[in-house]
Amino acid sequence: MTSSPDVHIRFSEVDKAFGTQTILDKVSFEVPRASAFCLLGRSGMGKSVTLKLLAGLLAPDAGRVLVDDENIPELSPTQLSHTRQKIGFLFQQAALFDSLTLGQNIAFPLERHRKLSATETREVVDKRLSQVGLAGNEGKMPAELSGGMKKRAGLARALALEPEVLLVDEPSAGLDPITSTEIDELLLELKSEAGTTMVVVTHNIPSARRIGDRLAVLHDGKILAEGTAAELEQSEHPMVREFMNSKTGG
Amino acid sequence: MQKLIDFLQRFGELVVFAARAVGSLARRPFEVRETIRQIAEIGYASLPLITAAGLSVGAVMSMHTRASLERFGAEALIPAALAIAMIRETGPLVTGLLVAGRVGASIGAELGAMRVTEQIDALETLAVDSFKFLAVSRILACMIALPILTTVMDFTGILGGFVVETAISNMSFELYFQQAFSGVGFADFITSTLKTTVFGFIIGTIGSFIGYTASGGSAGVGRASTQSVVFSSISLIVVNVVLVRVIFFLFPEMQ
Repeated sequence: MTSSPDVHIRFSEVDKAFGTQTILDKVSFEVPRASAFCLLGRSGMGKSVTLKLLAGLLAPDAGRVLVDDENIPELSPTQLSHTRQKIGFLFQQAALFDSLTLGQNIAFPLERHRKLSATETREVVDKRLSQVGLAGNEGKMPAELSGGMKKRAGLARALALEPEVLLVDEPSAGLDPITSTEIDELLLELKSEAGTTMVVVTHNIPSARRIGDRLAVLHDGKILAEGTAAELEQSEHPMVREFMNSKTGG
Repeated sequence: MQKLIDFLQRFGELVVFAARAVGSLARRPFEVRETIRQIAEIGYASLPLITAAGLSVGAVMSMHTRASLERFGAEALIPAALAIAMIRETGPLVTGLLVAGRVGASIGAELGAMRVTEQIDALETLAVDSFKFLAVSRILACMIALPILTTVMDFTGILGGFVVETAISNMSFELYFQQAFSGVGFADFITSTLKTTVFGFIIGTIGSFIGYTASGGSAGVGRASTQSVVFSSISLIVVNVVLVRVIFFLFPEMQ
């Protein structure tokens, strides 16, 4: 199966279960290049699992997970490593390396995969930190940062290798509305200026409306509805309508 | 019955983990920087503990040996007896157990915390082989650090014995060390010290395995830390018996 050039990510008939518990049941969706796809749904419905499947952190039981027409589960370790350099991942709790400073966290992927001088690496680190509003904090340890700062730092690290695809797990979780809006604006900027393709998992409906070109509601292992925010508001499915009309969702 | 099945399944996973680690040792990337950092963390940072323990163990062993040998008028054998005991068995085993306590707990807790906070997943998403970067580097560092730390333990132990001997019998430094090494062959030192490479492999592998597969939040991290120490210490003691038997088989003159 080959995607059209415009489709950057294709999730096709994917099944995933943990033991006897089915998490995803023949889930399919497509994400066009330079667009944002928001996955909504209640907790424990498999949204984060979907992101981990896209990043190759989990393997599907059946189906295909295509990024740039490459089926992630079929890639060799070397190919997967190469593909992962094109994918950024912002974890829900940022997952910063707590033994490294903020600057070292962002420099880490650059030192591993880019042949840059120390000065060039420092320039990229400074640029990424400025981009997320954390300039001057490169010497701080993750434990010294607030939740919002950690999230922005995690985003700076995810962007270090200039990924074509960004996977974002709960960008607003635990953040105040102002910081949450700032992160949304940053994601919108990335999409419009860098042409980054995004899959965003969120409970926050206002945030999903701002970021998402298309939204989908995941429930009991299936996508209940998919479309623009306006289309989902008109959905015939009561749960989808209820979800879309809630102030924050979730 | 279920507990036994769970234990056997976990043991099987550990064996697969260990085999994967052995297979990865010769495969790129070698993670040289991280391994050197871990050698410093595991080896250099353990030196004060090993030195203090070596001096104390040597001093205590010297006192006990004197008490026994004095009855037969064989005090002259004290340095040699102490050196043989330290180099052949006490040094390697005490070093292994001390490192299992200090380093095993640290590896289990560190990797466990990284697992439950998704830092290991983060490494993978940054296109880094987390197994090689975290587990193999630590296993290799333990394998390199243990023989060095054991050598330090052996010599500080003999030195601790000298301090006691010179205080009691006013024996000179030269005479003490001449007598100490008169009964120790090169094979004694090499076999017993290299044995600790296996100890290092056990400590690094068990700590990494338990930490790498940890789950269950902060309680899981605590469990990982405790289990790492307990299982690596028990394994080390059991494997030591086997290794001594193997050494005696390969070098019959050491019996």
